[in-house]
Amino acid sequence: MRFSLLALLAVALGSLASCDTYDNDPYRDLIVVEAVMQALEPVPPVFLSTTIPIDQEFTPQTARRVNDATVVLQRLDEAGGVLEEVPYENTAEVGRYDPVIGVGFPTPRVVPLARYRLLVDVPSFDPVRAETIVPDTFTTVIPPISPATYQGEGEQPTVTVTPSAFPGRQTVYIFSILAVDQEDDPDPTMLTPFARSIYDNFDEDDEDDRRDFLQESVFGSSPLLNEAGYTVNPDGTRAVPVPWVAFSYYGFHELSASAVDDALLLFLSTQAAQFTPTTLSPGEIPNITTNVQGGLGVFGSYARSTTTVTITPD
Amino acid sequence: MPDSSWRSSCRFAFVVLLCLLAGPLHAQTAPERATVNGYVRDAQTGETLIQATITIAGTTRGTTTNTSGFYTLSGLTPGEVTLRFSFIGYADQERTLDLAPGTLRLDVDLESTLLDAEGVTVEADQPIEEERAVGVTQVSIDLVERIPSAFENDLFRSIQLLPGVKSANDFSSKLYIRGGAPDQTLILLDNTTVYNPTHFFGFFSIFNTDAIKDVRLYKGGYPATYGGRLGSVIDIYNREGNRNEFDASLGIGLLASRVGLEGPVNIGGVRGSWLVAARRSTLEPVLAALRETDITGIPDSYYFYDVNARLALDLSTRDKLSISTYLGQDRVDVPIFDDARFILDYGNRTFSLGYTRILSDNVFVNTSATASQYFNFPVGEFAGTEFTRDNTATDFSLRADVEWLPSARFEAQVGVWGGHLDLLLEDTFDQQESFTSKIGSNYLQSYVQTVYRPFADWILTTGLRLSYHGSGEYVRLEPRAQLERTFGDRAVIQFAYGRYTQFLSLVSNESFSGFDVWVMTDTGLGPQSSDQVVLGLKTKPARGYALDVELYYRTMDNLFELIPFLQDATGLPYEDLFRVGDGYAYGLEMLAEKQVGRITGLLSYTLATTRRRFPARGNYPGVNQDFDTGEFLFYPPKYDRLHDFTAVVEVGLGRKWTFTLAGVYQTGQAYTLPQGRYGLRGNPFGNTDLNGLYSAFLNTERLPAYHRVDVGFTKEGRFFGFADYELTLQVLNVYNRRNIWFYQYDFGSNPIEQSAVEQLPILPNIALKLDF
Repeated sequence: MRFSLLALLAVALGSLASCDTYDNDPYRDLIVVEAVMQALEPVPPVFLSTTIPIDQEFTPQTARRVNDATVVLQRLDEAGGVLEEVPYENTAEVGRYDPVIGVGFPTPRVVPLARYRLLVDVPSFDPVRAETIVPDTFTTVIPPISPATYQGEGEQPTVTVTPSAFPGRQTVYIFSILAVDQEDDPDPTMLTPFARSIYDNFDEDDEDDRRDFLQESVFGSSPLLNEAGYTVNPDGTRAVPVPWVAFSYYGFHELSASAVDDALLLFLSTQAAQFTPTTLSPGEIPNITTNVQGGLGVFGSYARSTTTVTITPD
Repeated sequence: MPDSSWRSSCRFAFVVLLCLLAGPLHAQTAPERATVNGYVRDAQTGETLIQATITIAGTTRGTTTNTSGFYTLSGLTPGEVTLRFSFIGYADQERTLDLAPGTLRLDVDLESTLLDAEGVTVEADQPIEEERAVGVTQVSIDLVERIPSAFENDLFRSIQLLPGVKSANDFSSKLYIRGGAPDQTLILLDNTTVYNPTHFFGFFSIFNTDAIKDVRLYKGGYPATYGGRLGSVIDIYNREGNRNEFDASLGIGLLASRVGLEGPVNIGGVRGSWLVAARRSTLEPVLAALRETDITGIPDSYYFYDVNARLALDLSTRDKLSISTYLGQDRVDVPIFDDARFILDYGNRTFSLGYTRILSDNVFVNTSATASQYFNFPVGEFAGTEFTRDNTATDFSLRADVEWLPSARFEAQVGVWGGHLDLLLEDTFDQQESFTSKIGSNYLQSYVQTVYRPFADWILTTGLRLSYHGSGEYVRLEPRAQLERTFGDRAVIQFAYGRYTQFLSLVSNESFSGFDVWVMTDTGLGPQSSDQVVLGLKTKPARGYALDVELYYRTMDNLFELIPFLQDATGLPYEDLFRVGDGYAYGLEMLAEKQVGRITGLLSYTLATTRRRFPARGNYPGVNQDFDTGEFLFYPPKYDRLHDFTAVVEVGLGRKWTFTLAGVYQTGQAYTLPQGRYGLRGNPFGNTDLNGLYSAFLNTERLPAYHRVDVGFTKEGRFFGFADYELTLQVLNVYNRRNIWFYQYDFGSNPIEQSAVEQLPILPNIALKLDF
């Protein structure tokens, strides 16, 4: 009798397990928003597209663009009231929307620490809304010593910047390095030794991989880095040493420090987790976190300061 | 204000307390009786035997030896009684005694008779009483040494064959037990917590089977004598060494070689034994050959070693002292192209000083002082930019357990385990400190457990555990209870409930354990907790056969893990580094064993489900959010598998040949199949494309089923007349099934190409062990 009860429980558990199913929803197109504002710069264009099924061909230039949207950018006050509104219109470039500016009026510039809202309405889709708060501006007060000998003793480039600010949290930076001389035609003979050994390790017949590597190395960036990791000088400025590994080429470089908003912080960190190892199991791919309600992509902002340095071989 | 779980714990604890009190009241009414106690040992080596069974012939009443190999049978009626001593792999021994009131000390030596000359298991049957606790499995080290395995016999890979235990992949020996992550299993070596039980970055475990005496796996619903982890316990005891004669062994394998030395000791009349077992990888010639090829990324050096040592002394007939230690380390040094190098050292050190005393006729005391340290020190240098990490988990503890067995119907155990745990993590990048976390905590756990037999065929085990953790000042009460009803000596039904608390969590990756980092609770980050219920049926339908069925359900609350997307933790409040979620798991496990005869083995089946949920918290955005409702949903972690079949068969072929087969069939693991993709036109921070993958929900798809068969032959004999040898020839994955580990996506192709990363192909293995 008791054994029968156990068997009954086992059957019940088996039934429960078969009911505890977990299936995916069918694929559906979602609106993808791309609009990234830089503090003090003119408001940027807005790009609209949709996702495509994973098994279809895709390039950013040939993705399904959205041409029939109504796009409005609003600058808000603290209470959420509209201080400024910029309508957008579709351009000749499919999926691109530019601000509509009256003749003789300058394009509005992005206000530091201001809150912006983007409204996108696309027929047959739910309304798409997103907000961002623009990080405060900052400046480079001491540029690195230039030229600097690659891996030379005491010659590591260091940038000293004023602090940025972001409501409710410390500043988070991305540092970008652009090898200006290599922008048009990257020259492998100008690669620094580590980058050169990676380049040499590609199969000689695999020209595409080599070309992609050369191109990606021209303009590279750091991970997201917290302000707390840098030395604070007595005057409140931050000294930011630039690691040698960040330089893939010799020559003239632009160094940019960018303070990012929450939208970019979450978008970039979760986007990286889709393609680089984390503590997640391989094959477990969470979606990229977006601040776009009703869609995907990012409506973000950043503040940037740029300086230059020339790196010479040892 | 106390939360509801605390109130429910207190309510249940009150009921448990009533049960705890019921036994002693009954015990005090017992008339004068006889008691028999003593040690049960291996006749050949003098090693004590853990969980050996002592039954009163003609009855179902009995007891088992404790972790020191000591037993006590109290409340016996004076007069003639026959006791039967048995242990798996040993011949039964019966002793007829004429008991007088009082206590009789009776130490018994059992003869090992695991296999006869024809390779037939002649004795392994055990009374149902021996398997009393629910969810417990005793792991046979002899079987571990014969189960085919990649390169090296491995305890954890053998445990992965048991029902309810799953592996993440062929490259990992980590244990996923009853839906729990690896950090939910407490791993004890001679009462010392081991924090990273892996060599070779997770490929196999650190436990040298030459040194192990006993392994006990508590898969769930474990008793109040253990604590600190949500799910399960693996309690490992090293051998004490041969008390009768000097013995040496030498083992040579494809990956590592081993040496073992042991023998008796006599220090000023104090007798005892000692043992040293060491193992070191022997990969240097292989690496040297590989470096001569075009293959890149071959380490300049790689090695691991481990040393187990133990000294056991009988200070008197009542007092025993033991000192044991484990030292183990892995080191790899890999050049990466030009101008870059990566070096990793990681390992464990443990030390244990144990003292046991027979305090009185029915009171046994076991005390220990332990120290354990896990460390990993990776150093990387890339193009003149160096990063380093100093990570240690250092644990010092004192522990005391007292067993009191006053009558046949009642026994009790109380214990206390306190100590201090320090977790240190210091990262530097480019010569600058980039992240530092130093967190330490005192901890104290105490418990009381009683076993009460109100009737001959009913046993009620109740326990209460109180846990204090200094970091965050958390106190938790953990009631445990088990009720069982025996049906003669052939069947027992068991029901168990327990509440469990875990103050630690492991930051790890399923494919690489060399960077594992332990973290703990603190203010604002509370402990993890779990409630478990287990219903079990254990039967012995015929002599030498066993059939067990268990059902379980467990909750998992307040699970905390490092946020997987975090790129820089500097300057963030400690509690903001973690995501916090919950989960549940349930399952059915069936295990059929044939324990005697020419053909022995086990068949197991597991039906299991486990789920997790991590909603948004602070800076953490959450995962698996319903696009339309915004609700965060439960999802299966990768190691969730619905069906799991395992077969292990051993056949005695005669002339000292044994054939072993291990086969596994498992439904595929969960993974995320992206449904759609998108990409941004520009990237203001670099030339890397900002592509994105999208799936409505996480881990909805299943990899193809995993299946594999491994076979092995073992030959025992004399090696040129001066040593006993054991030659092992094995083939893993005999039909070269290319099981899939995971899929990766190539954005360089258009449309995206999905390619499979495969697991182990067919592999041979050969090993020779000499016993001098």
